[in-house]
Amino acid sequence: MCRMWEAIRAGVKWNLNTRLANATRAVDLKPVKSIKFSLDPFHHDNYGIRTVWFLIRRQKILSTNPDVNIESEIRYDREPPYFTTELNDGRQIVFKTSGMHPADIMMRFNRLCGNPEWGKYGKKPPEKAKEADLKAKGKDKKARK
Amino acid sequence: MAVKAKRVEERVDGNVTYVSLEDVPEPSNVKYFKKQNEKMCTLCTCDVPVEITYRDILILEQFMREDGTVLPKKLTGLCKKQQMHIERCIMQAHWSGLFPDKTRPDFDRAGYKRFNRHWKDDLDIYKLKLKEEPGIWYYIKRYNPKAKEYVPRKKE
Repeated sequence: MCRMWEAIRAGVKWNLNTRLANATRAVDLKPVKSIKFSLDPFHHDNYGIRTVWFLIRRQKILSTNPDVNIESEIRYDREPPYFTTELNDGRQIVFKTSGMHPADIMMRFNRLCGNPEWGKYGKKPPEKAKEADLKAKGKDKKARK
Repeated sequence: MAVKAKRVEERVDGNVTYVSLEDVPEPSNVKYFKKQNEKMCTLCTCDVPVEITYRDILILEQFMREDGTVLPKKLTGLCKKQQMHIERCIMQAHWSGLFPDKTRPDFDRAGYKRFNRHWKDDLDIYKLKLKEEPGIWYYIKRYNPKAKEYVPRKKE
């Protein structure tokens, strides 16, 4: 009964920070060829693009596609920020991020790349967390064999 | 004061899609009402004579998303009491199978939970039901296991 209650109340608890974390879990860069972030550092509305940039440069997300090319461009023309992506299909996306919360940006990005918008919700089950811990410490028996 | 709404627009131009935030234009026939008390609960003011139960899905659907989750209190505009009432009714409706299109894969429907459940009340989920079978207590009272230990008091 408690799990269903949690699942139903997930819509009530629309906290943007948790939604952002959930959307970054779902980011899969396999259909993406390159991303280029272009911003003016003195523009008032850089928060969204900077958090998205910071989160995409995590090891877990980059390891989904090691061939992704992430570039940056710093401008001084007082224009709003944007980032462009090239996909493997040949499509291009020009994303103008001024005024958008990073959670919305991540959701749209996932949707346009063809991935599901949300990742898994909640903590890892304790068995998987233990395995991940042992692997990190190097005490995994299977790795030694 | 009017609230300026914004919308995310995607413009496709051949191979390129442009995503940006655009202003939604105000409708021309906007009427400005006097500023009422902002904390007005729609269900309290409607004063429905009948209590809303889990069976009133047409009402409950208006406070739900399409995947079966409930909208937050800020969007529904209900008071705390009505919001919790509706959340409980929606959960009861899920358990009684009245939302077949809105089940989620997280739902635990193993064993006894695969059958539909029904309730009398909204707060019935918190009440523990004790089954009373009229034959049992009668049988136990018939047999007194401590009958042999009883020693009558001596009259002086």
